[in-house]
Amino acid sequence: MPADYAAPFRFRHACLAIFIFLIGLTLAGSARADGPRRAGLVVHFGGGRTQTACVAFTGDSISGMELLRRAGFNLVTAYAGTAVCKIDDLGCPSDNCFCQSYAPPYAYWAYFHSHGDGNWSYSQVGAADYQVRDGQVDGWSWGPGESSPPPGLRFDEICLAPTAIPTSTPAATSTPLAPTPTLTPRPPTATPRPPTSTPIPPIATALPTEAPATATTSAPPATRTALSTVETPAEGLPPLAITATRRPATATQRPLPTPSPSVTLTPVSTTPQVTPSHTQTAGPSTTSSNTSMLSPLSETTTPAPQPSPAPTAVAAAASAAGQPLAYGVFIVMVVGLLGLLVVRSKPRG
Amino acid sequence: MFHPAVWLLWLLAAAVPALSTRNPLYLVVVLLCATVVYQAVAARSPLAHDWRLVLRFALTLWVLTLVFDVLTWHYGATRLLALPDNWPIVGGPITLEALAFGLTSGLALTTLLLVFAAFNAAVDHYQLLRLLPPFLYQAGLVTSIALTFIPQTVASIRDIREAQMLRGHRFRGLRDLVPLLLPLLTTGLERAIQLAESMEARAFGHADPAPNPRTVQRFGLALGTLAVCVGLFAYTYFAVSRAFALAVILAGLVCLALVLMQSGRQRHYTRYRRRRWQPHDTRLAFASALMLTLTFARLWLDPAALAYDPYPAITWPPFDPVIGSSLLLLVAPAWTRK
Repeated sequence: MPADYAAPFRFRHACLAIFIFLIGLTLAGSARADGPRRAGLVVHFGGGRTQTACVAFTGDSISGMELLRRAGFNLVTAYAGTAVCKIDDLGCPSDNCFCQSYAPPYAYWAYFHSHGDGNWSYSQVGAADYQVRDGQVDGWSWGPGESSPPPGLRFDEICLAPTAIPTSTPAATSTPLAPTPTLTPRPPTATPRPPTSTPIPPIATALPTEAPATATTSAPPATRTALSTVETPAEGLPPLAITATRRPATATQRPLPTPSPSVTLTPVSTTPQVTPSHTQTAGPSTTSSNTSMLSPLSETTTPAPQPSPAPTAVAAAASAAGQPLAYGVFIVMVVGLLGLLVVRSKPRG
Repeated sequence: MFHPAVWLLWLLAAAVPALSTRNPLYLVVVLLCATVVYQAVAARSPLAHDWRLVLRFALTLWVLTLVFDVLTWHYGATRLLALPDNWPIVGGPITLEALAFGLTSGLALTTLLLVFAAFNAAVDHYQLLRLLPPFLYQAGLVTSIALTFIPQTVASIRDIREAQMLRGHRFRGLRDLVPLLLPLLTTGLERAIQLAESMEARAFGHADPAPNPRTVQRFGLALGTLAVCVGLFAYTYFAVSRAFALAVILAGLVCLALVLMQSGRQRHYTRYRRRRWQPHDTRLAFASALMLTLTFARLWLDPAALAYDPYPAITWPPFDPVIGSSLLLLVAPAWTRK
């Protein structure tokens, strides 16, 4: 007898568990989909020279090529902007994009993905076709391809500041090398937080337009870091100027101006290289998410936002000139062939 | 009808664009040309399959390609809708580029299928086998026997199945196949022995025993093969010595051709029902060769002339009237002598 009703009982429990699990999944998905997206980038120039960047973007995802471009690297591309020939000063010219891959020592800009855990997988598609999502890291490595991945950096090592700030403030201030932001969270009302809340980086969208003027240093979305050695990535703490806001993860709640926990940052810069003038004031608008901030530690890299070469546009313009006539010829040909089919099939049918 | 060699040339001319381009405009032209040719040929050919059968098969292939491409290939700039990311394989954005790629791939497959359907309707396999050079005589013989056996086997499967069903046997599972397969095996063996006996009774292989290949020939064969392999390797892996590698490949091929011609000349084979070359064969050969020449010349001038790729962002396919009109030459076999 117990077995008789135990079975439906268990079944009901299983159903309930699955239901709760599904709801949890949905909530987690919506909570994560709520914030702004960031993706990491590791560019390995070989010989221990590596640069990382953290790029914020709006929308679901951006292409790998767009990520590389927004990080502020000087790019030379070929094949209608689908192949990367040269990053900054290393690589090949556009008309001979794989110039180093014909004879040893073989080298080209190999493209890798990781899900933020530092494990690289060689990309099976080109960077223009790959969509990078929130929390992923893309890697570029100058070398013989699959066998030479970039150094295995995790996502939180590249896009480090927003996650580190709210939890471990004293630890962050004690680091002498990096300019450390000190945080003064104004309203303590933001402390109760739901368990699924992921640390959400600072965002202009969370702050309404009437936000205080101190919030103008919010979220320079692309931060680029130069690492001198691969083994010590922690030294390259990017001096993110960030307003760390952590708000309840309920998707419907809109942050009001009064309780919005805006956090002002005062960069305590100890290293002389860091120039505070790099801190671009990105206004609280989502459109200006292309600004990049550079923080050279071991070497100086010029930010120089590179206008992307657009060979596609040129090719399209060149081919578009005679196309209406050509399409006319095509239509005439198709109509002629169809007419031939009809004419020749009639006497026999 | 045309000489089988001319049909082979036409097949080459039609299959080169069908295999090498994904541009839907060129593919449509080739497809229509193949349809016209098929229609002209099938009216008089006993080999023609039912056109609707070919079309149905092509459409099935097309739909499968399209569904597979759209659901598994999530790249491209224009998103139509998105499936949840956590679904395996199919999860992710559905893009217009994947749709276009699936459509053009299916079109390419359909075009190729129709080209081969027209060719198969026009040319008998045995006619093709008779074109083989003498040194491939053995291979040709084996292939022609195999080709004869396939329809015979299909017929005997049908016979055995009917006979078993008359006895009340019903085919439901894998185990029920045993009463079908055993008789099939025995009939196949019987037929093979019969064929061997009948060939022997006609003194096949008795006249003069095949002469042993001479040492020079064996050496030349090995040397030619080695040269081709080494040349291919050098061509692929050492960019500096491309010309040298090509020379090595060419030398190997010449060596092979000389040896094979020499060994083919040792025995004299007669040919059964040799087909005469006629003036309209020359005309069709000229049309096909002209089409191939025009296409390759255009490709030589502009290597990307036939290329079309919807990725990363979809564009309208380009159409070059020169290539388009050269493709129209493929319709030539439709004007045969009545």
